[in-house]
Amino acid sequence: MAKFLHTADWQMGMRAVHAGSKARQVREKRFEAAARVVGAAKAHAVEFVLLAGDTFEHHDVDDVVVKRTADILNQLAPIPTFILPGNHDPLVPGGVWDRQSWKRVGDHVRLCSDPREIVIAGTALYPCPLKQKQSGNDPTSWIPPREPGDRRVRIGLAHGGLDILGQALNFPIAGSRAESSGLDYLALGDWHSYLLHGRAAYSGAMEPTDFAEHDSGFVSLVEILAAGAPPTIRRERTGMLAWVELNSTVRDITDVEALGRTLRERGAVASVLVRVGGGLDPSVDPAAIEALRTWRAELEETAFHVEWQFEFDVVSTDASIPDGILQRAHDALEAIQGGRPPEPSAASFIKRDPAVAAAARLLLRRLSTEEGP
Amino acid sequence: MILEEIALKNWRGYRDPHTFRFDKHFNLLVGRNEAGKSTLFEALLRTLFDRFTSKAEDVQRLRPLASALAPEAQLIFSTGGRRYRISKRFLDKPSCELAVHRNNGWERTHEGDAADLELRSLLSTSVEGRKTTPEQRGLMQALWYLQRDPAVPERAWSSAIRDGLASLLQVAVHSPEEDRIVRKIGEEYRRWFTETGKITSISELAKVNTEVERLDRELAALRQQAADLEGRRSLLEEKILARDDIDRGLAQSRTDIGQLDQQLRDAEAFEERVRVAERAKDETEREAKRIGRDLGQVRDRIEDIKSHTVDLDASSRAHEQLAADARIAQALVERHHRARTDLDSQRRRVAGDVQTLQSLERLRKLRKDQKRLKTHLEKRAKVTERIEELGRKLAGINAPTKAELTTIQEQGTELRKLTAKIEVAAIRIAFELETKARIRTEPEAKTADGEYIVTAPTSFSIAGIGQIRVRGVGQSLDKLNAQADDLRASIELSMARFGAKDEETIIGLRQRQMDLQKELKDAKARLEEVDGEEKDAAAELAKVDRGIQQEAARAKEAPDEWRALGGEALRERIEEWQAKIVELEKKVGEEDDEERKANKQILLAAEQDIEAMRRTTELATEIRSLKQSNEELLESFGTIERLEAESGKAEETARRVSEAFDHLMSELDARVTQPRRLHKLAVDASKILATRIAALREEIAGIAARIEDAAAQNLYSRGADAEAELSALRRRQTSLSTRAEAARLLYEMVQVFRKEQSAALAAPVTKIVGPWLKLLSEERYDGLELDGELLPAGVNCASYGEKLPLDSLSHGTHEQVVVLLRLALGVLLSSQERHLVVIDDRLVNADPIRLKRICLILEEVASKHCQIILATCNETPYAGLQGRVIHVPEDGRLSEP
Repeated sequence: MAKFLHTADWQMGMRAVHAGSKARQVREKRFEAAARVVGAAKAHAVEFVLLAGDTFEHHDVDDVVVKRTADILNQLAPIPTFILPGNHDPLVPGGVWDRQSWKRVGDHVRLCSDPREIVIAGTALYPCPLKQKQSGNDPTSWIPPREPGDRRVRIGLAHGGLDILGQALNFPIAGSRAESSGLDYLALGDWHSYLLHGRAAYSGAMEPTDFAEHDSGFVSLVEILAAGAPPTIRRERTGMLAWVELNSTVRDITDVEALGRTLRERGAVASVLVRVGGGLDPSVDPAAIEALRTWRAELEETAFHVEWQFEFDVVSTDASIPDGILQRAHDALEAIQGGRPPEPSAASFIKRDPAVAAAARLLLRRLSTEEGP
Repeated sequence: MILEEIALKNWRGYRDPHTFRFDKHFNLLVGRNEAGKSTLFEALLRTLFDRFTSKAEDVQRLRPLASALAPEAQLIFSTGGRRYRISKRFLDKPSCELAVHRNNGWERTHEGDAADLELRSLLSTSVEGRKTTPEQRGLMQALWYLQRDPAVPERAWSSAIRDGLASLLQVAVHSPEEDRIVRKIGEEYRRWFTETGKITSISELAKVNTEVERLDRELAALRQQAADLEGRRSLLEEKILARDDIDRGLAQSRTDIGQLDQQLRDAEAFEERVRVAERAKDETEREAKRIGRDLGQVRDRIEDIKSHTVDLDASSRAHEQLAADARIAQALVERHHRARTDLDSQRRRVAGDVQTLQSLERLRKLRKDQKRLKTHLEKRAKVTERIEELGRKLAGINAPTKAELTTIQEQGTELRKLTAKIEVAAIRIAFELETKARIRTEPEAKTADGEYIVTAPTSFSIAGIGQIRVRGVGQSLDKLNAQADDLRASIELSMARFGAKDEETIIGLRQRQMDLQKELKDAKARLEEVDGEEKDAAAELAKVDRGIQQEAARAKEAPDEWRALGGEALRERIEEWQAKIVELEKKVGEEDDEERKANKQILLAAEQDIEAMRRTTELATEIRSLKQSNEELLESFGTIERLEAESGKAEETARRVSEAFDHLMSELDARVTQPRRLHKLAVDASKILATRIAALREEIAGIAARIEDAAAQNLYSRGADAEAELSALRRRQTSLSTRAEAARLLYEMVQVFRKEQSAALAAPVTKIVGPWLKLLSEERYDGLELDGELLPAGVNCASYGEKLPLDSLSHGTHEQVVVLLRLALGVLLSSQERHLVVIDDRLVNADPIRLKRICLILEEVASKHCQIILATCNETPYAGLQGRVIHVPEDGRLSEP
């Protein structure tokens, strides 16, 4: 029987550039999430912990990041903890694992530097450390098949892309590796969202890293009763922040309310990084615009981070533009915006950016309706 | 509008009322400079456009000079099919009245401000203001080309012109609302961009751009540092690979050294074998050499004994021969010695005779010298005696020195001068007595020519008469007398010193002294001369006396015959006997030589004999020694034959041992040298590898430390922060850039449409001007280019097909082009109603030919389209034109109002 915690892609020191001014706080939150991982391991009394690669975002992460990570890992003592170098932190000379700040890590933490069988409490572990950032080779290919009569629980520990994901993969891993090598469980890292394929599993990042991720921010607590028995996986939330992307065309106030509702469903607003996209319907209710503005103000006040991409400007149909050259300009801009050729006199502007043409149209509308000399 | 009449009064130069009437077509206003042509146009402008209540400074200046008269003007014009009359009085009691011509009479319709307002309405000018600037004239801005007006407006023609043309040409023209929005578009554009289309430095976009650039640079620097760090990591990897390679090489090298150590031990054992063989070889060779050497020595000695025995015999024979030679030589020695002794005694005898003869000869010579010296000494004694005598005489004379004599002489001269002065200063007294009486003086006074010269108080005793005392000879005379007395006393003292009574005696003493001194000097010179003839004559004489005694003693044995010989004979004999002595000495020498030769032969024979005897003894001893040595050596071998057999055996043994040694030596390289060389190479290589590995380890440690340092600089999080900031800024930049580009797009598009609109307005103008320009320039230029504001931009150059900018034309042509443009505008604007075109003397720079062509154009325009008033100083060029010629001011004065 084996009972262990499977986590991966801690990405400590992550840049979080897309979090804008909150990038530092996003980095900070990952330490809190890591502490939660320690709490989960202890609470469930696991036999050992597997960290399936990308513990660090990069070899160059700040010293303090390495020290704090080592300190958090030290809190796992005496639980044996196996760290696998991933494609972000491969085992290379001068890399993060050679840093003095890493040397403070305790004896219970073992950096898997060689593809060699390790036996821990009767369980055979097959680590597949990465020693470079990119490769087209399957790092798990060395794992030997189960010998006849071998009754041990056999677990693979690897970092790469399962070939079932169907992309151009870095460190591709055969989807059938667990079966072909007689593994009871293949603990994987690299894919930040949770995924289970047969006995191969991505735990997902213990803390989300992007708007595009789904089902990240968890660790997997795995239990295998005996060799060949199916693994029991229980997922426990460790994520601190939620990354939410909203997109909507607002016509009336109910659309605004729907946006708020969707966001609340994703967790406490204070822990949400939200990206709001979309635009106003041409027949938008002015009250909806007002409500949207209010909601935005509230959001910016309460949410962890707001990336507002919603287009407030809307071309009003009742704006009066005098006949003559201004009307002609408006028509020509509308044509450019719509990808149609404008009137011959404005042919020289045909290649202008439609977005710029749209903005020019809005500007013309605004200037036409503005009071003043 | 057509102008019919201008009447004015109290208007600048027009103090009196003047009225000028105009033709409906062409009017030529002719007048000299300052005749009042432009004043008429000014009156036209001010009456139509100035408020009658204006008190402006330039209105004040309308009064005639030095007057307070109020300027007045009245115009009659027609527009819109009606005739109007406007009358204005400025400054004092200003008034304005507008009348319309109805029913053959003038009917006043408006007064005051109402008249002004109505007038503006009629003329389509709505500009408020006091000054008549071209912009305020409506259509007249283009049609009236006055003296001080610019050729064309700076920015644009007035809207009245554009509107007028647009309505005539049925071209859409912008509304005020459109203008307002277009203006706002322009403002929006200028919020973002400069006139040249660059982003303005004060716009937010420019600031964001700058900030983005700064962050880009910062990020690039951080990325570079990260790249450097990555580069170090690659380098570290390379070094570690290299270290591992060398580690492997070092391990291999140490294994090789272990194997070579065994080979070295084998080599040492082999070397010991070689050393043993070498020692054996040396020993056998030494033994063979020793026996061989003994054999050689025995053989050599036997040969030596033989040779020495022969030498011994020869030496004995030589000894006997040498003894015989010595005896013969001894006999010769004795004979030569005897002959030599005889000859030498002969030589000594003759030499004694020669010496006696020589003494006689010297004695004779010494006696001659004795006589000469004695004569000389006598002569010297006489001279000495004379000197002594002269000395004595000189000592007896007491004479002054040359200086003393000079002093005495000067004192005498001075005394004489003083005496003369005294006499001159003295009182001269003459007595002319009636009686002859003897006169005595005390002291005695001198007389001269019957006068007494009194130089001191003197008493005259005249016999029988009595005494006369004369005193007071004067202070100066007393002084002179005192000086004379002093001098006299001094002279007398000198005289007494030398025992002389007067100056003559003194001079004589001096002369005598000098004569004696000269004589003494001559005598001393004579003594020196005598001494020079024979130096140390006395000593010489004594020496000669001693010589005579010595020589006389030597010649005491001389026979009398020799003594009787004369000097010459004596000399001849001495020479004869001296030759004989030389001959005898030569013979003695020859005998001495012969004796020495014979003695040498004896000595040589004796030496040779001794040598022969010594050699004989030596040889005998040597032979004995050699025989003894051989006997001793052969004692251990017995015979020489046995010694020879032993020597052969020893040589054979040595050869065999040497061959064995050579065999071992041939294997030495392979079994010793080579393993040692390989071992050394392996050890050296191992050391090099160890050194390299140590260096690499240091290098690796250094690179690792640098990586550690770089990593400690928080490059990653700093880069992340910078990227996050940059990302936000870029979003802001994109948003601002879109807004700016939108403003640009809108602005540029509106400009394009505006230009198109202007081009529609400009086309009819250029169509009219084109043929005129061709006519004027003889087809050099074929068209006029107008910009969006209907302002001339250039002319088309027909022959080159290119546009020539207006400012590159000559001043005259430029002026003509402007006139044509205004005429064309006049033609267009007069399509429904004729308008007045004014050209105030603006063609002065046209050449006669061009002026003639312009006249054709003017005639065409005046006859078909417009009323023209053209002002000029010179009417000649316009002579052929149909129309009215108005002379200013005369024609106004003559006309009836």
